[in-house]
Amino acid sequence: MNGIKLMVFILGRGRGESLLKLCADRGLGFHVMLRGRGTAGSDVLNLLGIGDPEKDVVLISSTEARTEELLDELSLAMGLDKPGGGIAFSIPFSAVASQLSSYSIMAGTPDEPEGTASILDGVRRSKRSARGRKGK
Amino acid sequence: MNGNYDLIITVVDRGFADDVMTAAKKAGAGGGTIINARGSGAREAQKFFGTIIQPQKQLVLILTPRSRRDAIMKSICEETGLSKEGRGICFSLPADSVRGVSGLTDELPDESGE
Repeated sequence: MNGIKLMVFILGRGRGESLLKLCADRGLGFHVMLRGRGTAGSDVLNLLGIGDPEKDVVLISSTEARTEELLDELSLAMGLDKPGGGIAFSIPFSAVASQLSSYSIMAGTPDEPEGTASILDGVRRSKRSARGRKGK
Repeated sequence: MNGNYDLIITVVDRGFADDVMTAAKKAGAGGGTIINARGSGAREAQKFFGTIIQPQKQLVLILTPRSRRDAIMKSICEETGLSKEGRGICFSLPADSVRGVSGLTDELPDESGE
């Protein structure tokens, strides 16, 4: 349980901002919002103009240990338990490399350094294999 | 709540995202989210009067139960694959914790009407 996960929230347009605020309150250092367009609405809804296909896509990183708890907390706060409230899911990272943000900033937990080694190992491994390929 | 789900990501030339969704819905996808993006493939970036024109792309994100993933990806590749007009690439990532998909179950919609 020492990896990093990427949580993805897909919400109605305008609700991404309030999720970003919740993230800031929890000290989650890395979050990005993108504008998207949903396609789940039916043709009838579109015809009536009440489908609201505009979406906010929010990406948040967190440690594997905290992911479940955060997903529960944020989903409840954003009303994802109700049908049509939006969706959320998490994806595992296989490696993280960044000169600007340390592991703790990425995951929002400065007091949890165990995961650092395994993640850096992943980066070193991929560098090594890249070097190996060049050698041939 | 945490069944086996996958996130299918498709990258296509701009304007083909609706074709991707049509193909995916044919294979049982519930819905998707489209994000506008810019490609930077060396082969595709063209110099035009000294300015590099970057190709406009669209990303289509589709969250689906694992059982339906293969059918959806196959359908997408058949309609908008690399050899087709949309020049799409399609890959999937494992989504291990999922919330808010009460209507997205493993059972395929009953199309026979029986």
